[in-house]
Amino acid sequence: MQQEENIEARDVEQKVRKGNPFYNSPNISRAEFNLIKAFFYAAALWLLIGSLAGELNALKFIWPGLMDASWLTFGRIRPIHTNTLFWGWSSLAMLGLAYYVVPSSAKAKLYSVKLGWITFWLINISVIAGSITMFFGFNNGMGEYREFIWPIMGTFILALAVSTYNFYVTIHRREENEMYVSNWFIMGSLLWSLTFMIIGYLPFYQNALGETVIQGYYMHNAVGMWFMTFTLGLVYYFLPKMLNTPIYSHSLGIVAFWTQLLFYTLIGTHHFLFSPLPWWIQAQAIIFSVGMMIPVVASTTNFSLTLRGHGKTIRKLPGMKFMLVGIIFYFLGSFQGSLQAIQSLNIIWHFTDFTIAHSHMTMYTIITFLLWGMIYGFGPKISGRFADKKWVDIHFWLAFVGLLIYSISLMIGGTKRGISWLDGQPFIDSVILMVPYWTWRAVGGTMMFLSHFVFGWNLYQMLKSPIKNIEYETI
Amino acid sequence: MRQSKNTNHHLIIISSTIIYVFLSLLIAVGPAYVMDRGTKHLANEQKMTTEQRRGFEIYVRENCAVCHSQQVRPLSMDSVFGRPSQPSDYADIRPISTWIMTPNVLGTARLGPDLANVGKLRNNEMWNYIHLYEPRIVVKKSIMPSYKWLFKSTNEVEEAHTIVTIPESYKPAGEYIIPTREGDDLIAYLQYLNQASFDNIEESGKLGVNFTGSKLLSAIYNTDNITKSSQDSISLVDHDYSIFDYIVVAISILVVAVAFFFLVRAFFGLREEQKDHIKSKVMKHE
Ligand code: HEC
Repeated sequence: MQQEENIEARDVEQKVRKGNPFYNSPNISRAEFNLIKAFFYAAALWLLIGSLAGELNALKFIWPGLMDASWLTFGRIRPIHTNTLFWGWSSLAMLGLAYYVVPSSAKAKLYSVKLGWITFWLINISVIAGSITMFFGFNNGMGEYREFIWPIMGTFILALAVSTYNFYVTIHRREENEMYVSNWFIMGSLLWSLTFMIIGYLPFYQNALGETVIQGYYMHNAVGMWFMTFTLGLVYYFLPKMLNTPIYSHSLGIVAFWTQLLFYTLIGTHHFLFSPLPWWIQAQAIIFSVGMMIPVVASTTNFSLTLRGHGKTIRKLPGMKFMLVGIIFYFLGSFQGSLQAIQSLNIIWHFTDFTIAHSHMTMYTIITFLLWGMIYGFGPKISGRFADKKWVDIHFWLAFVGLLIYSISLMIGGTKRGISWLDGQPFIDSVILMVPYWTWRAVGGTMMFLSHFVFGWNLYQMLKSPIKNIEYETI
Repeated sequence: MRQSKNTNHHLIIISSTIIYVFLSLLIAVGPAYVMDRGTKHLANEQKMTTEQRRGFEIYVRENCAVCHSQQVRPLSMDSVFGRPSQPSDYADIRPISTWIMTPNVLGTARLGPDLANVGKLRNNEMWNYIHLYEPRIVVKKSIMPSYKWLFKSTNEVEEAHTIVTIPESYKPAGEYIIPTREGDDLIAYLQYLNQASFDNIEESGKLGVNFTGSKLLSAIYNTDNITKSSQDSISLVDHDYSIFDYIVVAISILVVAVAFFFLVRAFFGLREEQKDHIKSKVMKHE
């Protein structure tokens, strides 16, 4: 039985491999392999740590007295959850992939592996330091995703600057005349992120409500310009490669690029609708939140048309299911976000757990699923080993069903809670009504958490050691 | 060799970054600067005392804002918390230290009730102490964490100590629970959250934004109007629109429409692009 399955799995591998030249050779040096492997391993470790914190948070809603030491209190653990997953897991995974994509799509050699290691260490140091300081309650003033104090975020910014330089020189020395759209997105993402991070941390205009203007801007750009833009750049590269087909349209990609730049930058204030910020900032944020669907439609159509007719690969190639779900949710999650920015719906959903559902449907189902898909698709190229398809499927279903339970229960609960407030019910009633939904959230969250162990195992199986006859490039 | 028009990486990367910086200055740094310099206390508003400020630091340390907003919206559903918040309510919000910058108090979640006016709504000090020590003593179904480390148990009490009346089952037998200085400070801060009355504000004619910094910025952001129109708007839905608002809305809609046009154009170009693809593939084979 076991053997049969193994044979079948090998069969699939062989077919995929033969049919797709992407898997013929790693196209990188052994040194680059080690660098990328380190990025992925560290990312996976942060994924486990960050989701452990998330798991603890979820349980605290059911048992508020659980682990009530000062350093494990909700207010301190929650930013550890978000920041380790943002700057640890997602950022490291993205950069790990980019260390292959940037040189490869430019048909150039990576400028410096050493600078890559510097980025790697700086990021890890900043996330470790940031987590420790936050255990002690040393946070940068409660603004979401700005909780690292400035010397620590400064370290992170430096890490990005080093990689930006590394990639820029790489692209500069390329042979390929045309610059593939992936590198537009990746370079744009890096430079824009450096900008918004510095703006977010400069103190000169942040007293009183000045802080709130910057907070909305920073929060939205962290998600839109760093994670989304960067990940899109990676998908524009990996999706066609994994399917062994060209991207359907380069020009749709370019429309997506410029409209992404325009709209995501301007809409931060939709996190503070009905606040005492000037009315015009709120009004334009709402209008551009609707406009935000333009880059989303451009990219999702492009991806869908690229996927068309590849049903077999989607079923067979480990990781493709993650890509498919990621792309579908890129549309759904963004559409949901635009809806939440509409005043009449914002009144019901703002301040409720609906927002938490939304942030998981985006940061998790879009960013994290796409990253997983790409890591599963890319790992075999550089090590020669596919992850066991059965275990990839277990990972997928645990994470996906978990996420559905998580977000659907919070969406229902959040809506009910909003309606209860609109009705003028006593506040505590809205706490009590949430309890079953918080419980379901913890169930879904636990499934997601467990799936991360499966991911760690699969990653290890793929990358532990390259197969014997693999040929790395010599420098 | 085919020369393609998107070859110049400097041009793409640098120009997009310049656009990004420009938009960021326009939409974030500029308005932030105006709000920063323009927000002033009204005559009838109390300022934060040293003790309250220390308490505010504890509020930031424990990250209470992750569950509590401090922002009453001009909506009838929010009227249970107080009157709509206005910029001057936040005039005291400044950086905590060299290391910790201006905190965000408005928040994005109401896992617990809004605290903008909690000093008025919960003005019983003892209730607040008990609630902070263990919320479930006073609100059975609360999910708020207990903050026991802001208290200590002792069997020697001095006159100056506040003894918090904690039921026996919640504390070490025979001991008294008294707040630490941090606990006292935090409660003092909660009492500071007490909205000045709206009447006086209307009298003063300003909502606490009084920007006189730069003529240029005043003109760009129409700062006189910020104060006037938000004062009138109890609900944003029946907001008192000014010409400036109309201009902003019109420009925004126009930009979205132009972007939409480019999207549609790209869609119509798809078929042509596919032909090119196939052609270039055939050429490569030859
Ligand atoms: C896990 C989320 C959570 C955190 C963190 C939290 N609270 Fe609460 N808080 C609640 C909930 C839920 C309620 C409503 C039930 C109750 O009164 O206990 C509440 C109620 C309150 C009330 C009573 C408000 C009223 O109008 O009845 C005060 C005061 C308060 N919290 C202060 C704080 C302070 C100060 C902190 C930080 C040290 C804090 N809370 C941290 C969830 C939280």
